[in-house]
Amino acid sequence: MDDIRDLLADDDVFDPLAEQEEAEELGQVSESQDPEDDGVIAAPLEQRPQKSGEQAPAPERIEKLLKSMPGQKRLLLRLIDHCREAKNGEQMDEYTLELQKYCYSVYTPVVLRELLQEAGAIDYLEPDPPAVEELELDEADAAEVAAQEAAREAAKIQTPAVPLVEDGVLVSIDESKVQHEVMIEGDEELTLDYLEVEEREPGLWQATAAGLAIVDAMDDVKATRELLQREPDYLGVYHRILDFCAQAEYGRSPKEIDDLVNDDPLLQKPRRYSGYFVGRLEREGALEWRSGWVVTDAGREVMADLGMTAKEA
Amino acid sequence: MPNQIDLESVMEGRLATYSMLSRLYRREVDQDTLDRMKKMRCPINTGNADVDTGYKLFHRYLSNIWERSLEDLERDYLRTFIGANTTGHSAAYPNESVHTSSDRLVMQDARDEIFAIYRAAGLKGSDDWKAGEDHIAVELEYMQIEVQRSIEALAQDDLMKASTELMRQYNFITDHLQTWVPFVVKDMLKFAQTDFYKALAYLTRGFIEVDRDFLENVLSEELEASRYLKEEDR
Repeated sequence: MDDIRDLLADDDVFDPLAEQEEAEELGQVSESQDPEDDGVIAAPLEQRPQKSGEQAPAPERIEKLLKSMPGQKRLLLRLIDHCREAKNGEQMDEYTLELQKYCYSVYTPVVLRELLQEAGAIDYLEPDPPAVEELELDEADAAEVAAQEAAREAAKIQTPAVPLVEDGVLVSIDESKVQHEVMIEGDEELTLDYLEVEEREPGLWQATAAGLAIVDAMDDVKATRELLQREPDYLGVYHRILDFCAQAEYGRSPKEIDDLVNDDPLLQKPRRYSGYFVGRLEREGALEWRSGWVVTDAGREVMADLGMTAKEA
Repeated sequence: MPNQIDLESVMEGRLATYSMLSRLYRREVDQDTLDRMKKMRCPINTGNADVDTGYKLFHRYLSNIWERSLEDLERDYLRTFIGANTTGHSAAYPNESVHTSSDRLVMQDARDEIFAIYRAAGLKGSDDWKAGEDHIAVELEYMQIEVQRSIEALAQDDLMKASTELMRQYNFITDHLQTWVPFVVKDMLKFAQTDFYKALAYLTRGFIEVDRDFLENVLSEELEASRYLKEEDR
């Protein structure tokens, strides 16, 4: 009986290296296939090559951000609008937390600002460095200063090299900020050199032109009108919801709106529920959640345009 | 009147440093810790290059704190000590077992040894701590407790007890901290992106060296006697 291995034709045996060898012989190995050029798998993130190419323009990045966070869109736009005039971090925090009362987010105010900054909607303005008073020195003083400088330079040469933190980067310190304290150890006097942490003056947040352009281009009245025009069959339902919410100072609960429209024959086929309408009105800026659904200024303007009043309804 | 450097003040300094290091490794920095750190003095001529570099970097970071620093530090803590991969080489793993076992796993022999040392010192593990007894934060906390005990013994003029506690500290440094901390520090310098965690790495490595030298100095007689006894046994 033949050895089973003899029954297998060489060509049929899978050899993972065969193709490679063949390709090498034919000179078909692409650059990416060259093992020497292959990257390292699971390398630390910071060691991976950065994506090349320029960053998308700010308006594009802002639109992308707003699209990726539909639930936070209005909050983000308000934050941009709020720093139309520069605000400090504390003011921004306060305003963001106020908005987040009705628009819960896992993001902290600081993270929201970071997202807006990365998208190019707001900028962080560093405080101006303190103005240095230029002193006019007479010749004697100038010579003394020059001598001191020379002495400092000489001292620097004698100072042992500071260890490297990264290749070629020294931990540089401002010698003028070094403080000294004399300590006694036994009979010896020692001088302790130390640095004290300085508070950094906070900067300001200011909306960028690209950010403000998107805020200014938002037209809730127009968007709501277009919504109503798009769905003429449901015009009456939209009217009833807007009017119902406008009547209550603190807004209406979802349950109340359910009771108002869910049994409407128009909503039976196709079956629609109040959430369908409320969601659309909210998205276009006619309704807003404030522990209850309330009509926004834009919503009221649309109602006035349509000649709707609570009384008439 | 210049301040006096004596054994008591050095021991207080050691206690404060171990306490700070342990806290910084235990979990991400919070506002309270950051506020306290902003008040600290950063000595820059201690004679140990790593300690000086650590303090200089801390000074640079703490002097440039802004509203996003806490978030940055939280991210850097995760990046440095936890990482985003499971290769065993994608973070500065803060457990001794990882650096002393061939498979780079937690809960290996080092952890058992460490646990035995804690028990011998009358300490038991907290039920709330799930990251292993050989975590660098816990090992540094052990040193903190031992330093506190020696301070108390010195205050009571119980020199025998103080000496025993100091010897325990010396042995713990030479048998454990000194054997693996340089590896985790090397990894921290590779993975950390903020000056803060780089500073922590330098300061840890430098301080352990300085502290070992200090203990060697203080315990010179005891160490000499112990060496003599070992030779006698042979």
